Amino acid sequence: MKKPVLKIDNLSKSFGAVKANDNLNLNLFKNEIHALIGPNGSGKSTLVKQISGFLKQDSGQIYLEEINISNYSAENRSRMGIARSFQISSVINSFKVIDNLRLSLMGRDGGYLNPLNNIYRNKDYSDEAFDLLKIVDLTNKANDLVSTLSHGDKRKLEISLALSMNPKLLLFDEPMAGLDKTSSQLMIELFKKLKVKAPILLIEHDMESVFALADRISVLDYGSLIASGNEKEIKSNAKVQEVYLGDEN
Amino acid sequence: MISEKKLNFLILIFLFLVPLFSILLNDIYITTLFSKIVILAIAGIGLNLILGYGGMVSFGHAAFFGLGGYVTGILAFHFNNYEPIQILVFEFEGTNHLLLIWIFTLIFSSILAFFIGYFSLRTSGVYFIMITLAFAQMLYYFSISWPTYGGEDGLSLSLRNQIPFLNTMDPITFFYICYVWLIITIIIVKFILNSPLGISLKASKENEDRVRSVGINPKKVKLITFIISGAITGLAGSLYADLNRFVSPTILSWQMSGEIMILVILGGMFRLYGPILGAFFYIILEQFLGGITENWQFWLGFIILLEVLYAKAGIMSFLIRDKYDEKTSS
Repeated sequence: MKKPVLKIDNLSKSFGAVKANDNLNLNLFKNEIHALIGPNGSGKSTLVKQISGFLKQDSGQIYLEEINISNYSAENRSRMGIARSFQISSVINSFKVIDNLRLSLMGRDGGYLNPLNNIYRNKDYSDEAFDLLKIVDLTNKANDLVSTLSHGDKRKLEISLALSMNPKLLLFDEPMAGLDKTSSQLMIELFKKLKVKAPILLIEHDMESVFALADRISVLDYGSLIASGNEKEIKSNAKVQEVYLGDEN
Repeated sequence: MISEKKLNFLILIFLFLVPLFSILLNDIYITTLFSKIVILAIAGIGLNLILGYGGMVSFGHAAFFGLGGYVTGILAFHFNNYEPIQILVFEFEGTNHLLLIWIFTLIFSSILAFFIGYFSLRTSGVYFIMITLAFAQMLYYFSISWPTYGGEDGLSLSLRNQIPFLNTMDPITFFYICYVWLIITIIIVKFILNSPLGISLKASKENEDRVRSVGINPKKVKLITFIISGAITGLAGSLYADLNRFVSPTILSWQMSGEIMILVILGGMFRLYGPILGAFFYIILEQFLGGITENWQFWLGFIILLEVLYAKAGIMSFLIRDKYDEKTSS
């Protein structure tokens, strides 16, 4: 039997009386893109925050390669290989593009409390940063200030930051949001290549991208999982049609 | 307008030469004034590390400045009256060796900074300001109610503490001792700012979520830099006690914290040499305006007001060509 890279076991999270996630169970396997869809407020981002350690679950367990990481801090989970992008681009705007990558590379290696080595003279990090920028086609902007980048380029930088962590699992929260058609298409091609490196849990509202990418799709509504399956199964599911897809198909 | 590198170099040369000329002209007052500028600049650089680069608004750095002063004063006091220092069942001799005193100052300031930082960094924003202030005020009131070391009246040092082969009572010698410490402080902080710790600090200031998502614990980063900052400020306090040959609760007061913060803001928060320029102008304003009016702080407040409204990067931003602000701090 295939062992999941990520296993979520009866995860629940409430904000007051609102159940954001209600006894969720979910698996993510190697070479897989698993898309999470659902209406706004259905608990998708809350789930990503719990998996990445930014939010503590009320109950339930999270396993990464069979290790129970439910009580690990966000920074520990990042170092273990859970890499994420944020719903709203979250990068260091006052840094240069390449310095954002230097930051993540040293974070990954754990030497970030070192007060002596000059990080700007670390050739290994510079070379690796350029290699990562090459993947997302940002090498020509390596020395630009992030605050001057377009929205699309910031999205690409976020992807390269996630890749810099030697990820075992990639969590992408609406990576296509605000991107034009061409950029979305480039991102789709990129994700298809990336899933071989690390499985992807993808939250996305653009159904065209979801159907183009996802090997499996899970649908959330009011914090509960209402359906899970491939594109055909999801499209033909009456409940999914009712709560989410509606007229889109 | 000149480049930042040139301005930094000119600041150091200016600080180096003016006391030398003042001694040639037999003006000890200027030398002492410049010693004070250099000492406050060291304290300012210490605070700027966490304030400018780390976004931690500590309103309690007088705690470290004062502790440095009191460590120096207490060790010298016990050396002079031949009474050992008693801590629980242990007894220690006092000393007047500056090298030893500096080591003790750095150790005690670091321990205090760890303690204050550990609790303060659980908060942020206005609560951080208040908790750091509260810690400093606790020490202030403690020093007032400690009669052994002079209480409210403070503690006098009959002579400056000593370094072998140097006459620390000579104003110019003492100035250059302070100057060497300023250079060492600049080198240390410059190293830190370009190191993994420094880049993590600057990133933590701007976006903690991003920092955590790349495996960095921003609390640890802030605590380590808080300790370094406290140690640097403590050292400045030690030099200040020796400069004045006197230490009193005043250097633990919130006014002292405010003074250090004002000179950092005045000079420029986001630049390494900003606090040096800030200390220079602060002391010059104190001397110049203080000679004209008793209420010189009113005019200082007016200047700070203008600066905060129109030039957040401080006096440095008026003098250098490559304009700079918080948005380009990497």
